[in-house]
Amino acid sequence: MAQTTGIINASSIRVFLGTTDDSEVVVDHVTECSISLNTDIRDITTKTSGGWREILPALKSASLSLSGLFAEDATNNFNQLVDHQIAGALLYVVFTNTGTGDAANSGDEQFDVSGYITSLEQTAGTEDNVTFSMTLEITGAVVREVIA
Amino acid sequence: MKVKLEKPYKADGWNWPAGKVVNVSNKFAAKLKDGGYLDKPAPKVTKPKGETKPKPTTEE
Repeated sequence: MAQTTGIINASSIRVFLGTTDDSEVVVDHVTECSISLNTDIRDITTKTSGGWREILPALKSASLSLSGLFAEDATNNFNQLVDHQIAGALLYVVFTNTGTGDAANSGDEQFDVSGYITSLEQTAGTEDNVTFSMTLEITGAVVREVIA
Repeated sequence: MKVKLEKPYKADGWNWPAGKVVNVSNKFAAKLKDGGYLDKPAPKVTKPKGETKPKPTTEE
């Protein structure tokens, strides 16, 4: 398939994860997901900077967050994520665009990362859906690749 | 992508029976395909009724 044209529908973005690379399964019932890349800076301002701060890039880091609806029998839902967090498991994650179907759309780009769950929360109100949210801190390089 | 397993898969932290439908990453789907997990088992070859083996000819 060819690269998707135009503005992407956010519902097409899916998160797949697993404990082995290239063995990722979709996280069920996700309502929102995001990936965030950060670059620290080094201040190299001196007396000769003309009164303006000068910087250089320093340490890069990234994290991935998602939230969704809780279901006991779902795949890669809260129950499995709790196990992964308690075990301190390294998780392999694909953050990809599936378009209108279930398969990632070849020709588009996706994130292929790995990391550890650093935050996991389940929320239960009254007469409402039980929800969960997770943050994964990424270790190593963030790979942005064309979907094959 | 959604795939249907034609034989059980017990590896990589997963334990699935044959017939299970799972939504996996493209790379995982390719891996399952390469491993023959998405191939339907070859149908059993049954002999059509009435077919008999030819009797071996004997020299007189």
